[in-house]
Amino acid sequence: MHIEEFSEGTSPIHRCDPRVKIIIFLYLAFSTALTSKWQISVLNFLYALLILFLSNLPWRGVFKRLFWANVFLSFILISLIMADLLEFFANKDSPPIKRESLALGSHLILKLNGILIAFLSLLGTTSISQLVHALNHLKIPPKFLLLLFLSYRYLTYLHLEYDKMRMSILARGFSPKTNLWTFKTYAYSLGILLVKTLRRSEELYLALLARNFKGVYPLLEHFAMRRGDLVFLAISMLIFNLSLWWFHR
Amino acid sequence: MHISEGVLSPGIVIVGWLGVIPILAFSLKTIKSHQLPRIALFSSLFFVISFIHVPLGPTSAHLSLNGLLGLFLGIGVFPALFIALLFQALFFQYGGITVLGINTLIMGIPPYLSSLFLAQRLNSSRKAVTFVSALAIGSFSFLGSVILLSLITYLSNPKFYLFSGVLFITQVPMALVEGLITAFTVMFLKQTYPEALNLARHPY
Repeated sequence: MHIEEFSEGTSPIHRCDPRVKIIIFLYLAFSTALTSKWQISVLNFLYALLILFLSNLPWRGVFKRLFWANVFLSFILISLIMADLLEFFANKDSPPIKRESLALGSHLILKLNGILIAFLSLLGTTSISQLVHALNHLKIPPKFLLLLFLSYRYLTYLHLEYDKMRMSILARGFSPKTNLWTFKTYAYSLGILLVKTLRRSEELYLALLARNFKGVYPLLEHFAMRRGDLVFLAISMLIFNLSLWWFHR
Repeated sequence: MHISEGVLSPGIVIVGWLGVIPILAFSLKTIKSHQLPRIALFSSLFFVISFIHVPLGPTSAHLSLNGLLGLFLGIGVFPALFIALLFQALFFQYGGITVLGINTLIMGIPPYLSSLFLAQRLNSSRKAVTFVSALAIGSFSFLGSVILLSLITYLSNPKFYLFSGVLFITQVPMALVEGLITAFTVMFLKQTYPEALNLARHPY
């Protein structure tokens, strides 16, 4: 399972200090999510697009990721239109599609895509080990970071185990249907996966003890803040704060 | 089963973070170091379980089994879900970062509460009691999350009433499937690895 495909690259965004990327992303994401002003959402969307352009990510991959998130959003948009239509059929004075529903729908599309594009280009270009290391510098509790790191470490292991079981039941001609037999098959496979999970967690703890583990996971990848990173941070903060002040004054 | 970025109102997003931060802080304080590997691995397991798609009539839905997580982790279900949802957002853009707080509460509160009240019953010598208790934990956990999700979407913007209603109705049958799979998994564990159920009754 190759899940960190976007973190490999040499673009300016890939080379940027992960602490800077996390701060810029959080500022952009929360200012977009918490605003009711569409102008701020447009500005943040355009800024996210600029970062995406600089990050040099494969367009096909980015579109694929955005597509599924937009499919989910489309259910909400359809429900908004359907609600207006129901009101129109009940009361002919009401327009078939209200202006405020269209405004709300387009604002939601802008917000979702702006945050996701920033997410892919800033956090997607950061590997998990860099992310954990940067969060450590940003004073996130080490216990939480250890959980994050161990969890990531065992994702691939459990996914491989799951794949092996899936292949073995498929090889025996298993074809899932809506019946008790299917649910039992899934449950028993899950049961085995659970036993493996529990056993592996005990082994992991013993392995940590054997290595005199003190609660801090040593990370071998280091990074340093460069002048370019500080300029990127300063420009981003200036844009976000100016737009917040301008449109909320 | 979680909401995307940008959809919820600012108030709900803030409430989500204000709710989840103290719970995570309390949970991390309570967890002993020997429990960390188990919580981390169950977090990965939750992520992997979401790949399993169960056919449901003409459509299919992915499993969540948050009840099973609540059963084995107790209060540790919150950091486990927080991390698993973070990975889902990071690798597949399901959910998101700004809504991570509220999504963790939606997915975590029902399994924590249902396990708190029902996990002791898994100890019963009668198979039927164990089965029904596990079924209830699995179903209530999922159903609770669906109710919370529908309610929060509606409270976020009453114009989403149709979406909330349809979401609730379509997810109710899945609660039964989640309950059945949780119950069969628990029965399997009772037969093959009963020590696991001791962990389920006393996560710490």
